Amino acid sequence: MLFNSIDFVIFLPIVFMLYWFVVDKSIKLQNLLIVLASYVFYGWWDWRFLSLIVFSTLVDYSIGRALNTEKTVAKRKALLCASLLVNLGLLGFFKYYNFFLDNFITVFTFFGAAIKPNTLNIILPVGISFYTFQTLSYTIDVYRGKLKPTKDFIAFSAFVSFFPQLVAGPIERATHLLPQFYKKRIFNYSNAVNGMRQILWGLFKKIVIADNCAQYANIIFNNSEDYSGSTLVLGAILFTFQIYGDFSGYSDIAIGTSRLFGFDLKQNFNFPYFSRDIAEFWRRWHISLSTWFRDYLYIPLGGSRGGIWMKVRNTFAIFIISGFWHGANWTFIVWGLLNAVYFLPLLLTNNNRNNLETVAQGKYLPSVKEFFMMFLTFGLTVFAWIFFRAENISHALQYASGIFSKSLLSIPEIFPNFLIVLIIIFVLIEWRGREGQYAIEDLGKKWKKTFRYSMYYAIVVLIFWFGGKEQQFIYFQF
Amino acid sequence: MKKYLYKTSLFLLPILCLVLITKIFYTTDKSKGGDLLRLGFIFDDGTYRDKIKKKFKKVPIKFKELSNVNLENENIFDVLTIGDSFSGQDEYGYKNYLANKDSITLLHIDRFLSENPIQALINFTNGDFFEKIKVNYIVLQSVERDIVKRAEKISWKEQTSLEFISKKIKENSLRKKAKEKDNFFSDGIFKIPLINILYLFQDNPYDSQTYKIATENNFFTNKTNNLLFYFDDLEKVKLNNDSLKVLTLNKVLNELSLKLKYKGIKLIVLPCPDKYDFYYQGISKKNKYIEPMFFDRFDRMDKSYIYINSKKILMDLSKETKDIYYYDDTHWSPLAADKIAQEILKNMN
Repeated sequence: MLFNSIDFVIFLPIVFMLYWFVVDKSIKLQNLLIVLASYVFYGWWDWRFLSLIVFSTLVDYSIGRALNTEKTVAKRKALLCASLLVNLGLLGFFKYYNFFLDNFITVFTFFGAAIKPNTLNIILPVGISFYTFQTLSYTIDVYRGKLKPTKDFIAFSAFVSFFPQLVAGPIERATHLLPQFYKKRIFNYSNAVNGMRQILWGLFKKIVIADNCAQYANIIFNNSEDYSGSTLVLGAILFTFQIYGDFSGYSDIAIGTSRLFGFDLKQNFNFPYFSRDIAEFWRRWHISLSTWFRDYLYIPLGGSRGGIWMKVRNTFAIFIISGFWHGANWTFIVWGLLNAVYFLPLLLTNNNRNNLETVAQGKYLPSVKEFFMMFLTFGLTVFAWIFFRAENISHALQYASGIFSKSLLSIPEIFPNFLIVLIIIFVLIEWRGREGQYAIEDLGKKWKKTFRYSMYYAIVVLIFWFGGKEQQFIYFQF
Repeated sequence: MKKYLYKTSLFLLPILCLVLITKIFYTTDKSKGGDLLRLGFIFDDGTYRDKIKKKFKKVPIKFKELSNVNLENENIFDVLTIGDSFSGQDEYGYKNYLANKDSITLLHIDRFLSENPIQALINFTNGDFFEKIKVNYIVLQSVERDIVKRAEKISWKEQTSLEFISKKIKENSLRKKAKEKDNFFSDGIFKIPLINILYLFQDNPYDSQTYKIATENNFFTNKTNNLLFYFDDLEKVKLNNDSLKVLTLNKVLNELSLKLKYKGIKLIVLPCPDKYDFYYQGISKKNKYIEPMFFDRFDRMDKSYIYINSKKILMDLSKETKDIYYYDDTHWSPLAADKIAQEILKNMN
């Protein structure tokens, strides 16, 4: 079920009314409703894959309970390994089986061996990369003693399957989200209004910005050999806004929807395109995933402690694995590698924690230096996104080499005026609201009601007016 | 909570009303309304199709499509048909009516294999298609608005092999047809009511691909003195009125006919009149609209192929009955399709 579909528009009010009017007296019933609604939400796409999420829930719940009673270190390790094996095994099979097989065959064919491929027609279950990581955070934190395992199976099931963030994040930590299922939720008016505003902004980002950028980005990327360097640059920039609008828009809708039910989810995007360096970018982009990798992979590997080679190894490991998490294609690995190359100099020169506060905090405009740094970081990011979007490595290289040609200085063959204007307005609004959780968090709060509601209606009209072909959320394929 | 529900409902009410109006009066369901309603965002009560369904002869599907036929078992046919959407229409299309007459065996070339039917047929003729598939007649159909354009820039050297056709058929079968979903967030909720209001003042409002104009008589069962037609019918009139281009078209068809004659195949050419052309004489304000001359010019040219003058045939039929074309669609109705099938059969015997 997509957030921008008619199915969800009908689904949400029904669940909302049941949640606050029918089952509001009992925490258990509220949690049970969340579980049932989440399974309907997930099963709407393909009911067969409900079995996977149920299986993952049962395994990690059981392992959590076992870890509570098991004191022997070796057995505790074995239980943790079991959880890792099940979750990563599921992920590995559904997502990477054919990739590894194809590459295995390529290598052996290169050496002259004739191997008959046995690729399987595997459908990637929506959200598997997200909920497996979410449940893993539970078992790992229980293992580390950071969290007491839960005895409440319904609460745990609700934590795993919570529909607003089930299929595309944010990847919530059990330490943050699970306790919220133990407490009774009481309706809070300002929280609900805040949630609606965030949903509205999320829809704007997804439907107005992302979907419209997608139409042009797809044309340019799919026919990249036919376009000039300047058009290819435009295509890359449009994809940059597409992926941001799409993914952060989804996160906003997820967080806003959670607020309607009395839940607080962590911010997942913190205006990453206003970053002054790549390290800052990675503190602001897909925060839930990057912090997951930091806490469960980077730090256990040694993090930034140790010698240069350890730092280099850990940095490359994290970025490559992060890239690979996005998909079974060499392009994602190269994208990760590129970001590692960007990041490493900052780490090795201890400049990776320079820009911790928001750029131009409390000011209207950035300084010239800040502007230049943002521009450079944005440029590096745009270039890396080429690899993320391309069909394969040769397409990415062809695209990149097409940019650096004589036609780079020509006028782009495609120039969607209205979209460029929209993007400029969007960037200005995002800039204005960069110190908040989302761009319009405090916009209009001090205005008269008429003006504030006019602003809401203007956004709604734009959402409907520019609502074109329903485009899948990009991160659904991960 | 009450305050929240009250404010949210009040805020969403106008939008929900617009959504509701649009959902009730505008449909993208092909069984309830024709393509002109969808292209023109026109409100309709959806009863027209039910009213005229009873007039149509329902016959079983007896034609074969190239994508579904096993050429090892079946490669000899009386007729091969190739064309655009007028050659579609499933059980209500002219090809099916023809296939139900006199135990005729009919093979149809799928649309995805013949974007330009004239060029496609030339390519098949140049390749090995007719070595494997034996036919006596080929019906080459094209709608009027595209026929002249399709004969421009013809390549006589291009060829298409059966192997290539098999590959395309396989690719097409793998391409799953995405279920068309009504997008909730669509500009239709504003556009549709707005355009319907504008139709009161304009024949072809902004963003609509359908013209809605007044006629002197009522040509359709829904008793409306209106004619709906596709904007491209009007856009292409100038091109189709160009005598030189029509001459080029005829030359191409004559040459193709000769090529097929050497293979023992007779070519039947079936141009289908645009709805605009067909009902032009019935338009109230003709002075606003250019007169289509394609059929007048084309009829007079010397032909070495069998020519089905569908406009004349259907004009005669229109004296007896309404709904020769669907009111809400660019295409002719099964009444016309059946009549055309009869005429094709006459020319075959």
